[in-house]
Amino acid sequence: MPGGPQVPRAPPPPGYDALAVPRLVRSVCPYDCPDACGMLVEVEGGRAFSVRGDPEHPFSRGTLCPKMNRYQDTVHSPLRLATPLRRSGPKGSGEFRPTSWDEAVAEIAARWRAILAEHGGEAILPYSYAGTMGLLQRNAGHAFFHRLGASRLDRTICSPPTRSRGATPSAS
Amino acid sequence: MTGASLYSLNSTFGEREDLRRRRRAMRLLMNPADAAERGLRDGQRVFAWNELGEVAFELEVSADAPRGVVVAEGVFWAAHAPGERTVNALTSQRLTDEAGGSTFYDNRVDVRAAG
Repeated sequence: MPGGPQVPRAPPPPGYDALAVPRLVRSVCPYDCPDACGMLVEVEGGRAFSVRGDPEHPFSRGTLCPKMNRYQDTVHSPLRLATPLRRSGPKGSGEFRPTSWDEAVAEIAARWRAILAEHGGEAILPYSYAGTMGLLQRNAGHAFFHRLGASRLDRTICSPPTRSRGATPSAS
Repeated sequence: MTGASLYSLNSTFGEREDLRRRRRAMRLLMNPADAAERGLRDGQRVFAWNELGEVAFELEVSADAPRGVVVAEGVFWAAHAPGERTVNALTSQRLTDEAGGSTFYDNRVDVRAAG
């Protein structure tokens, strides 16, 4: 790639602090489009400084949409939630307090264990669809919830009609 | 009819001032013949309404909208809407006949001048 920093391809040596030095990392857009656009992200000290298209990505070939150009402004937006929030008032009151991941995971796990012991896995329904869920991420939680024996959601909120047989132009 | 904006993904990216500027105000596109019939002009504040609610938009008179169809592009945050609500207030819980999907994109509305 003439004129640009080299993308590291080999795994880093032992003891290498990946976040301490400026570097260019390969990433993939996490949103829903099937393109899975390749991105080159400049990272230093745990912060992303620039995002641009990866010219070596075989499909998107260096092009990003207007949203993903400057994606670092979204990642580091002051409006972005940076910690889990725990509801601290009645439902609907909009009162939340920040909490740690350790505390949040411990509390969720304890409540789920109690639900599983008393009612079984079907009492838990994972509700999600997509958005920031590309080809890899959108199914990433399924194995976990299947192992729990959780209920399965009929995930029809957005685009199932576009994939249904009747709506497919080539269907006969 | 609701369409996607290039500068947001549903309501995602509302935090990005650069994208909000390019997306411009929350507009409703209407065919010139429909606008003339209702005595509405480009840039005017209008309400789109149906049995579920009413939503304020800036009217854009545009031949890009076919007759009988108004188009709202993008899902705005309420904080960035000209009124109190966004296009979601016009959306019903009706499901599609094929595959039981949502009908966010297609709702019957009428349009009148605001105020």
